[in-house]
Order: sequence, then C-alpha cells, then structure tokens
Amino acid sequence: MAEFTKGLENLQEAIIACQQASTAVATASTTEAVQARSALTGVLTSLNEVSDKFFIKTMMSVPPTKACRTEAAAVATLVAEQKWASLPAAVEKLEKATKALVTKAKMDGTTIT
Amino acid sequence: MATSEVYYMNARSESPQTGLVAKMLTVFEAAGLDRLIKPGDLVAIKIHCGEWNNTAYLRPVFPRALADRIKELGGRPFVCDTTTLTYQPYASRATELDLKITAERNGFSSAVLGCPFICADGFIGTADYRVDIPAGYLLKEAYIAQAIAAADVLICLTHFKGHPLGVIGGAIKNLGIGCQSKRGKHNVHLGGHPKYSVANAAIWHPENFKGKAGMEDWKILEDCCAYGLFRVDDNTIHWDRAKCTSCMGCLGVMAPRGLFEFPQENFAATDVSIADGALGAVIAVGKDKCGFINLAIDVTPRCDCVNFADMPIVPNLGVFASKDPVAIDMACLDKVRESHGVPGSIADDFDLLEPGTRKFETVAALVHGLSEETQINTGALNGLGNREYVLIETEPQAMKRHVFALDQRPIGERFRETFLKFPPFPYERHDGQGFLRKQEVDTEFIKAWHGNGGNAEVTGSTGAAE
Repeated sequence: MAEFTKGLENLQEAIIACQQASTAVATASTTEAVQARSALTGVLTSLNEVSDKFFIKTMMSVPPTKACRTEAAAVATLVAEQKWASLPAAVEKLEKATKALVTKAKMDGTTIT
Repeated sequence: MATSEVYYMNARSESPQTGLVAKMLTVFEAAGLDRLIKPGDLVAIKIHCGEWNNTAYLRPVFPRALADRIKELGGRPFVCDTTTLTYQPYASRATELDLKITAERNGFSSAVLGCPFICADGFIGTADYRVDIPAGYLLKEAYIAQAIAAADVLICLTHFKGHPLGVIGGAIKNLGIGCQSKRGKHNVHLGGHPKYSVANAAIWHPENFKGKAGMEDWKILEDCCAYGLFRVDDNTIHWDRAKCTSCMGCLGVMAPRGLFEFPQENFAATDVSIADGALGAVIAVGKDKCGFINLAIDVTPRCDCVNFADMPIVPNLGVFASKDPVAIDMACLDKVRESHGVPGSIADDFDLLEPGTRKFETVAALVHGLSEETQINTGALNGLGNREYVLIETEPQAMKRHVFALDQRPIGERFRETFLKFPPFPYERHDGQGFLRKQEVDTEFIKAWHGNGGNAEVTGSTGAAE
C-alpha cells in the first residue's frame, strides 16, 4: 500500500496548521485567543490520535481530512493576521470538522466489500 | 482487434417509448438478445436484489418488464440472485432464507415479478456446477450457481455502479461474483490461496488488542467470523488463520481496530479473479446463450451490497445492451468518465466534477492503488470479451409497444360502458357541475400573496359525507 496517502497528507497539513495557530495564540492576550487555546489543544490531540488509524489509509478519509485541513488553514490564517473577532467561529468549524473525522475514523457499519 | 457492438439509449425521457423501461426493452431487442431465446427455454434473469436497507438497486419493474417480454417470446423466465459470503457482521443475504426475505422486502417476489424469484445456489450456497477455466488469468476453475448453470439462457440485468473492492460493479461483476455459488465466491475472493488470501496477505497485529477490559465491544472480534476462527482471552486474541476462507467478514472489524494491516494484494488479485469467474459463468451457460443489459442509473459509488446508498456520482447515463460483458462495462465506464460529476456527491468531495476524470478508482475503491480497468483488462485477456466496442445509438420503438400491456384499447373503448353503469362524475349535483365550488377566483392575486391567517369566507358548514 502506498505509504503516503492523500488522507494522511491532508491530516498532516491540518496538524501543521493547528500547531502554528496554537503556538501563536499561546502568546496572544486577546479574549478570543485565550479561548482558542484549549480548543486547539483538543483538536490537535484528536488529529494525532486518528493519524495511525486504518481509516486514514483508505480513500474514504480524503473528504473529512480535507475538511479539517481547510478549516485548520482558515484558523491559522486568522491568527497570523490577528483577526481575532472572526476566530471563535472559525475554531468552532474546525472542531466540528475534527469531530466528524473522529466519528468516521471508527468506521462503524462500514462494509469493506 | 475484435470489436463488439454495444447498443445504447440515453437516460432522458419524454414519452412512453423513451421511458427507461421502454429503452431497456428496446436495446434488449436491438442487441439481438431476444433471439437468444427459443420457446420453452429456461431463462435466468440475474439481478442484484440489494442488501437490507439499500435503496439504489434496480427497481423491480425492470426485471418484471423483461420477464414479461421473455414470456412473450415463449421463454420461461425466473429472476435470481445468489447467497453471499458472510462479508460483514450483519449480512442479510448469506442463506437462501435470508436472501429471499431481503429480496422480497426490496420488492422482488413472484407476485411482483410475474415469475419466480429464486436463490440460484441453494440454502447455504453450495448448489453449484464446477467448470474448468484453462484461459483464466488467475483462476483455473469456477463454481457457478446451479440454477444459472442449468438455465438455457442467461440475461444479466445489471445496475452499473462502483464497488469498494471491485472498483466498478457491472456485467463482469454480476457474472464473476453474482453468478458464482457461495463456494465459488470463496474461490473468487481467493480463500486458501497461498499468496492472495486474506490469511496470507493481511498482516496480523494481535499486540494491538488491549484486552477485554479496554474494549467494550470485544465480542465482535469473535462474532465477526462465521467460521469461529478468532478467540479472545482476557488480554490476547488468537486467529486460526490456516482455516481462513477469505469471506471478508472480519476485515471491517479488525482493520479499523488496528488488528489487521490491510490486504491490498487480496483486493487487487480479487479484481482479476472476478473476470476469471465471469468467464466460468459464461462457459457454464454457453457463450452464445448469454446477454447483458447494464442500466447506468443511480450510479452510486458503493455497491448495492451495502446497507445504504450514497448520492449518485454522475447523472443517469442510460441503458446499454450487448452480447459482450467486457465491451458493455467498458462502454459504461467511458460514459461515466465523459460525464460531469454530481455536485454535492462524493465526486465533489474529491474535486472530480469535470468530464474526463477517472472517478471510480478514487471515489469507489476502498484503498489507493486499485484500477477501475482491472476487471475489463482481465476479461479482454482471458477471452471473456473485447474492450474495443462500437456504440450504436438506438432509436425508440413505436409508442404503442410500451403502453399498458394488459389492454391496449384506448380508454373510450375500455370504459364507456362501465362509466355509464358506474358514473364517477356526479352530473346530478350542482346543475351538472358536479361539485360545490366558487365560480371564479383571482388566481393572479394568489400567486403573489404571502400573508397568513384564514379567509373569512372559509368558515361555515363543514358539509356532510355522502
């Protein structure tokens, strides 16, 4: 099996974006940045936990990991540009995408063939 | 290079003769499949009856209309499907009893079909006929469902869609898996094969089992195997892999839990075997006694063998008929590639909406590295058929051929006397107008009125039942 799949690639990009955002909000003092810290920590934990799941090696992982990548990139951009007012909504979307990914990674009810 | 004929009509409909049932019957005749049938011939119509709660399988009206046409030709049709492997923990078609119950729930019964619906491989799936396949690329024998092998003519009526293992599910798959007995399906899925079986291709990680205490649903690890090959102790799991039959029942349980590293080689080799199994089915019935109809409608990414149906990935594409299962699948695949993807579908998730994209091997295949052409290429190599084809667009038949078949007289002839005896219109009421209504209202006003609340004139007597 290809070692590097599209789902894993998306996931790694999402993790990198979340780490960048997490590092930046750790030193910011605005209310929105402070609120985002624990959310981003939770997201990173979840993304790292799914990274070695079988699901990530399947084609089915591509859409939900792409969604996480997109939302993580949006959060990282807002943090980099210090657009704090828009941050809570973006973090919420990232949490929702991450939750969807974690649920799908369990592959409940998935028939392989 | 040999070229096969594939007869085709698109999916648009605006009249009785261009409805999809009419088009199916039209290409059936255009391709000469009607001429395969002699009076008295037993004709197997092989369909996929759909797994429990799947909703994308072909509507029963399609095999019904085909069975009616076959009866007109003097044939004795029966509609059939075969038992499945125990490929998922909650399989609903693994025995004849379960298959018939599921099929009936999905609308396939003799009352609906106008002919028997039967399980072609017996109660457990071991009623079959062994054939040699010397030209097989991987398989050298096949076990074909008994009722199909015993038929004088086989018409594969196939819903063309994707498949997580086979990548595409067309005529070749309908033959190569669907027409095999359960024993034959074990063969096609390479049970017992020294290299490609699940037992030999999967990498087993029992060390990833964290103990019963750490896994609330540990019992499914034992219960996913119909052969009882997994045993769970308090902190360990054991697999008697020497006896594994590659039924696939454990894959969806073990792989997500990290206990299997996935047997991609099994999948790739199975795609080859499907086409070899298909050749076996054609040999069993007779190459000049097999016809194929593909309906590329509701083109879902996953097969009808799953308990759900996702949005179609492309719009309805049309109906196809041919004597060549390789050519017909290639024609359908080409149409899918030429088509736009459906917005909001999984094709959209993968940015595959543009025409010219290879959609199935991305949106349907479970794992990377599978090809949407393996079945077709193997079928061309083993002599099942030709991947080169000429697509023949077929003209609609006369409208009268496709109206209500039981009485083709116009309604004036049919109902004039009956309506005199039992007039459905109450001429005797309201000066011949029949019903109590206002004489005129402002229909232009109401088109744009967005108010709320009732009209004062609405209140009053509620009337009485007559």
